[in-house]
Amino acid sequence: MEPIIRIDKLDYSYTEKHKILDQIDLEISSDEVFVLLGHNGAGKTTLIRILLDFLRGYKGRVEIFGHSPDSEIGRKRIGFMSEQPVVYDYETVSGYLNYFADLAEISDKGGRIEELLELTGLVRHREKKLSQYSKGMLQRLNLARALLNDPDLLIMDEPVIGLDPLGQDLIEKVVISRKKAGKAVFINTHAVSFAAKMADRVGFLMGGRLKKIFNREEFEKGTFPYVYEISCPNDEVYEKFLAEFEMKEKEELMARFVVKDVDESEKLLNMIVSTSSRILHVAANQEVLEKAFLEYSADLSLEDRAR
Amino acid sequence: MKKVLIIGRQILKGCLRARSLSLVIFYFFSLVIFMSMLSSSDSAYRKALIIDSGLSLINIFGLFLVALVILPIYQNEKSRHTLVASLSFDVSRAKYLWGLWSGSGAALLINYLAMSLLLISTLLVLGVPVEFGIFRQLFLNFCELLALGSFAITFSVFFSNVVATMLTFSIYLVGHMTTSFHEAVYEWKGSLIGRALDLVWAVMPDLSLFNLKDIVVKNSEIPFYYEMVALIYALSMIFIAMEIARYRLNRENLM
Repeated sequence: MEPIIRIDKLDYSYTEKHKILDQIDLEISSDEVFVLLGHNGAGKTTLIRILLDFLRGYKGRVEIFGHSPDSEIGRKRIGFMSEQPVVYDYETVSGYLNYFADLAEISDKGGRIEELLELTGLVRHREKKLSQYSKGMLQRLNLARALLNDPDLLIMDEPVIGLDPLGQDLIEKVVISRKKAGKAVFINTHAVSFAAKMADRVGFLMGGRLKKIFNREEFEKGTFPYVYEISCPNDEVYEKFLAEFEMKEKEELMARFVVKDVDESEKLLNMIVSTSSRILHVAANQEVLEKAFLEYSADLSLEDRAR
Repeated sequence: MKKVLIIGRQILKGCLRARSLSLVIFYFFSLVIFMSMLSSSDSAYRKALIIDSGLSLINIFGLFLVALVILPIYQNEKSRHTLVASLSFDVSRAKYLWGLWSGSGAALLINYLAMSLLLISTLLVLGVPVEFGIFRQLFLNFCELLALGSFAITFSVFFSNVVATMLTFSIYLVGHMTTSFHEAVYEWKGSLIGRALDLVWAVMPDLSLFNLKDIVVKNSEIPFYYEMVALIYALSMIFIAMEIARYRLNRENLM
């Protein structure tokens, strides 16, 4: 499949001394969710700005849908959800979305806006002035704006920052639905758990360098140990598990058990299913990404971490 | 072109919700106070004084409109991230700038028309005959403000609002000093200062072209094609200013 984003040997620096992006090579296909993980100041947002033609003067080759970022043809197929809220504070939601829908040349403008207000839960607030909106609501609006043109590529910069669990859930649903529709999503974040949940591939951008790209198989299926998080009101269940597995930690109703391989994983799951006590919650956490994050950031100088 | 108009419409909305209405109201009060003072005079020059000061007042408030409503637009668009949000759709930077200009120009036109209407009404109330020359001067004045607005946008693309305001006012001041420049250049002819002044004179727009108040007040004849020449001159200045802004914006990194 033809990649929709193709980046070859991309270099970018604001000053001559300090490289923000250093020899980045990356290809993203048309139906994948790619998450770029990195510490603050790693260069994630800079990369997005280059893709969107906000930053110019880079070295190397960057193509989106086969065009350079400054081509209007490529940008027609992109939706961008920025980290910062975008606000005409004198506007209502309807007025705001109408403006951007006109810019995106949406044919059924009214219907599309209605659909997005429904999706983002802003129907009730449509006539409210944006100056009265909370940060979470503005982020929802940001998302609605990004989806106006039903983009083939949705670019999201730190989409879950500052959102409550409902907002995060909305973002996750949108990402999943984009993927189901065969559209690509490019996400910048430093939220490891969000990346683990959403991504088909995760790239680690550390100190301006793309250190490694993990496939889902690599960070999900084939890599042990796993940590199972189990919540159960009955401590006796934990005692049974403890006889078989190593307990990592316990907090009130919840305990974390480490499984070392597939067999142990199957065994633990069978025990959970066969237990007569009520299990409130089970979740498997892959620590691969978290470990990789820490490992790659360990190579960074203090100055790089703080930039 | 369609996208330029869409952006222009949005900018117009923002401008009209900014300080423009309060400026028009403030203009109206200034006009009333000023005119009531002048109308009580029994000088032989009463009519000339009223017309002259009325036209000057509208010029000054037009300048305020440029500085307080048009000039901050670009930086506002940048700081509230609406600039990058608009550009993330398939809009070129040049189209965006022209959208900015058309929206702010439309806002200027609406406010200027309101102020002109107030001026004409005041003149009629005071029993001052409203001659065609007044409308011609109002038109010229608007052309000048439109050109100044373009300079204001250009400066704001390069500099902060404060510096851009200072530069816009400088253009206005120097632009009206053409005669003095003529004399100075003549006096220093051949010297280094003379050459520098010559350069400034050549580069600076000649805004005195838009000022026919003296002629209007004295009811003298103005050639019929004068407005056409002034309009072409204003449009060329607008084009040059916007091209410079486009050149700069195309090289700017947007954050």
